[in-house]
Amino acid sequence: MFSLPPPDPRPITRWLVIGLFQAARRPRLSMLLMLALLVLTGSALANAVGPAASYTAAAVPAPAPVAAAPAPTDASSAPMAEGKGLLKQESQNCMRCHWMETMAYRDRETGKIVNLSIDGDAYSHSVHAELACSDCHDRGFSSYPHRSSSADEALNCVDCHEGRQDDGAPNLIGVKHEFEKSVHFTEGVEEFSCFSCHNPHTFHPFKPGVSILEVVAETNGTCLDCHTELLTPVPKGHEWLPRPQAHWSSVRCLDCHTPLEGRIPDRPSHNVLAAEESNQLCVECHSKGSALLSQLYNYRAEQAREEDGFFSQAIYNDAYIVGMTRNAWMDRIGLAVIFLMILGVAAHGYGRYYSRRRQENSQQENSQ
Amino acid sequence: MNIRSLFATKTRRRLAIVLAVILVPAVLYKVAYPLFFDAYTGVKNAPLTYDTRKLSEAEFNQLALELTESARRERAEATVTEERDAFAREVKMEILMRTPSFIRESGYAHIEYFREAGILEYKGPETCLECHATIDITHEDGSVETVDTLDNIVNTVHFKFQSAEGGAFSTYGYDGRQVNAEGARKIPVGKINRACGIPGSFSWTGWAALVASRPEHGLEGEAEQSPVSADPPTAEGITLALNDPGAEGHGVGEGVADGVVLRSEGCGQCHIGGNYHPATEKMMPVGDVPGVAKEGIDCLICHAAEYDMNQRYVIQDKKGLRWNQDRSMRAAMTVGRATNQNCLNCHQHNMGGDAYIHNVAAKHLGDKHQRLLHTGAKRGNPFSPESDAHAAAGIKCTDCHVPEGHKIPRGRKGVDLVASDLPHKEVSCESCHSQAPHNVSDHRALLNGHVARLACETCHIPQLEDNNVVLRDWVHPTWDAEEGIWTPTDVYRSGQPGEGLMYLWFNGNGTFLANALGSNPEGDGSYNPLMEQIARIDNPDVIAAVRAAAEELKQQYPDINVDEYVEMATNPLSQLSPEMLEKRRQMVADNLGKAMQEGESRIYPFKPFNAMMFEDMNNQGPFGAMILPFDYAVYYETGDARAAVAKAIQDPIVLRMYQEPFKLYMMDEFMAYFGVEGGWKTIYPLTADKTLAPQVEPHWMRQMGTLMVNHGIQRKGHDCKACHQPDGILDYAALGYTPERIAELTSNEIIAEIEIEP
Repeated sequence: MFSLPPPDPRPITRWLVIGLFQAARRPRLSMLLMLALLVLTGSALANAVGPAASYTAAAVPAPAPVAAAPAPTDASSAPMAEGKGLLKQESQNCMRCHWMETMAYRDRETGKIVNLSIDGDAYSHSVHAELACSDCHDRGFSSYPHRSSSADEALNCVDCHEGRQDDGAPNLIGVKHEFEKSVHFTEGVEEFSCFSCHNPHTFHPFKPGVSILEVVAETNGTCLDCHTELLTPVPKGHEWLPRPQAHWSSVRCLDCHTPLEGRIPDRPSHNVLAAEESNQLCVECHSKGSALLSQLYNYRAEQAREEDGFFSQAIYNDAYIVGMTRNAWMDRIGLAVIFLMILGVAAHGYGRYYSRRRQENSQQENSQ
Repeated sequence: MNIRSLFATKTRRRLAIVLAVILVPAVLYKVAYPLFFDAYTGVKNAPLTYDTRKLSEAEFNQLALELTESARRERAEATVTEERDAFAREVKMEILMRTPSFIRESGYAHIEYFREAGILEYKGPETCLECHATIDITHEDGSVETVDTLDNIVNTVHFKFQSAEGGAFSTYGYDGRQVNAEGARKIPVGKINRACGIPGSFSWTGWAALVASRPEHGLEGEAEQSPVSADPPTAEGITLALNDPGAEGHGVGEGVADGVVLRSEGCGQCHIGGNYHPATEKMMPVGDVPGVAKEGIDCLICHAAEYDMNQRYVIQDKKGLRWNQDRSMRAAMTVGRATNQNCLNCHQHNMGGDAYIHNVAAKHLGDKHQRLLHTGAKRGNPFSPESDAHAAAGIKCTDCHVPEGHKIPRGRKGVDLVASDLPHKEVSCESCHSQAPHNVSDHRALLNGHVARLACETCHIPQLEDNNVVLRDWVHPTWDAEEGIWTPTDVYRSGQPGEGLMYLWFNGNGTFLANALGSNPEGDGSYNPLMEQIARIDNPDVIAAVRAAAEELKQQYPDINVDEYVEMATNPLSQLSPEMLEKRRQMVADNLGKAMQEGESRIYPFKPFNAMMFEDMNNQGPFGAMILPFDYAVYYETGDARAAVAKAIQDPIVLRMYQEPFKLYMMDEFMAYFGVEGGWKTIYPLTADKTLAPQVEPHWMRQMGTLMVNHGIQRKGHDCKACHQPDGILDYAALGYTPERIAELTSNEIIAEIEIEP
């Protein structure tokens, strides 16, 4: 029924104000005002002992759950300079073919479809919007057909993103160090590179307002593209996990498969852990101090409340996570109900026993 | 007991009333309604008899032996093809034929089932249902459902030929509404009630006909031995032949006098119902086809590997004309899942055509009353190992059209009003080939890139059969001396791109008269096929061919004005008054925009078609008027097209169409989709003396219909230059491209670069 939203650092008085305001806007809910006040009291108590300490409000408005830190320049708001990016003449030459949405081929070695299509629209909204094709692909593309293997072209994110650039491009050295500890690197997965997961032609950080479910779907899509064996009823290595597909759609793989220590709100670690090192403890997430609150849900509460108001959020919370989303008062009420029920049953039983004895007594008296 | 005593007490009276309330409607529904329905619509129902015979056990065993041997031999032959030496091949085959595992794996499973069950006679569906009363259906999501087999099949489009289900049509009316969309009043539409210029009739009026033909040179094949008199036929001869009282009809083998040979014709030849008419009862929201009609279902035509198409001919009994079936034990013993040949028994007719050289069914025209062949092809894209890459690879029809029980999907894209059982089930190239189908060429990525804009069929059906009909004139029949009948005149046939094969944007939607809808995703908004491509023939070669055909027709029909004829046939919009033309322009712009813009459009190949037929001009709109069907026997025998229409519209059901209940039940809605305003006008187009009323006029439909072509796939498609050159097969301007893009698409520059490659 009622569930507690993730903790919010704002003073309780603001909660109250927003709550009252929202309730007034929604007449249906105003009837629940009294009850809600109860919940508020409870949540305030819960908040006091909750995981607020692991999370600072001022930290991030918009976390970027994948590779890069938040982009310093927002491509959509900054108009592209004339002759830059895809508008540059040589880029236009490339796009004469590469605009085709289905331009792709099946790799003869892996059997997988390699997409060669550039979505101009997505590119112009990506962090790399200002770059022309040749800024990265600088050799071997002047004639058609191009050279046979794109592997000849050893492109690497860190080559450009080493140290913070003048233009504000982020430094990815830290990511590189994390990646080099990850199972994708240490196990020597063939030709595993940044591009195995990240498409530089569409890459952009998640914007505030993207729902948790979308964040999860997009992030996990990256993993499940290769790990297709996990799309089965009893996924390999996850036999212990109840309702695996429900987990795939509501929590990121990375939330278990990166180290619990040292998480930062900005982005998940690139140190992807092997199965045996990964978190298998349900209570890490399904608890009041859920590990999910430090990354995946860290901006959720505030945003949801802005949109729906506290009460709708509390009642209709679509991200209900058993254990994490709980209300101490509801627990107590539940316990009380159970206690009262046992009491009622016992009283009823005693009543019957008592009346039976009286009846027997009176019969004995009568027979005498 | 006295009847009065039944109502003696109050309780009994109450009981009687309750009983009456239950029984009377039940009796009305089960007995009175079907009787009334039959009387009203003129449909006939009677127990159907076929030539079946109980085999003796010895005969059964003999037949079993023969069938098993021949199946085994066929399989052995297919296995030893690698061996070059004929003698060695023969020896290997002999070895295989005696190999235990080979014996176990080849043959027909039902022979053993029949032996165990003691089945020695095939009596039709009742024999099948003895074991298959219910079947398990696997749905697309993997769920399994057990259903009543007979009920399942009588509710398929293969039996009903129509559907009133919501969402069964990707077809839009010219009024802009999707046919039978959610929320609309559902009307039954499909082949049953949709007259068409290719067959010239619909299944009510064209179900089964015996045509008295007068071949001038005798018949080929089996019929050649029959005594055909060289004398010119006389009216008495035809009458004699038709009135032959024999319950099984009469024909070539029976020595009909005066050179008259009876031939079979009609829609029923390809439909699984064996009754005197299509399943008209299914068009009503209540009621069902009677049991006797269900007993006429031909299970074996789809399920018997050794079905004999020579048993498919029209027979006449006391009730009327109907189609015979192969109900032999020989066929029954070979039942199994439908093979390609089972599907092609009927469907090669509308793919490759009757005249297609590898059409197997067309080689077995009937032991008597041989079926008439149609020399013009409806689509001219055959499905057979000789003409289609998938058939050659051994792919089964049902590999792409994956059935659910007896319901078979047609695919989500449909331009026309052919009803679909599983309208939302995917049937597409991509579901097997993915979006990156080209793997061999150096240019594979470039070729794959084309998939975004071109359907696979656009390149991989380079052409249709030569006898693909584009323009068919039903009004001016010509004499077919070989068959001895009058046939509609095919004014123009071609299977070549730009002639009998055209390219249009298509998003899966179509119109009520089968026009592909779609839009150019990078176009300038000028794409408007209903006012341009499909409403006009520009190709000078085609126009010249139509002129030549018109001049030839003029020899026979001196009234023809060749210039007018050519203008009407190649510019059908010229038949519209200026007001009507303006209205059309308006309706296309206002009503069809949404259906054209929807979804993803790609360029598909289409077979264009138009026919000149008689139309009821009281029910006309900017896209055409209600076309009237022809009676096959009258048309083929006399060549009097007007008399053939007059005869066909005397059919009781056509008479009912022109009455109020039918109008309210469906014709008003039908007309609204047709783009005809003001509802259905019920003025019966036949005068008191049984001739056509003045509102009946010959016309070409105001635009060409466009039929989807998806078979006859060639491994090697068109090459780049077929399209990327100034005079390529794609008319980019008509397809709505901007001049700059046209210049780019037609330039030789890129092609030249590619061609440098060895």
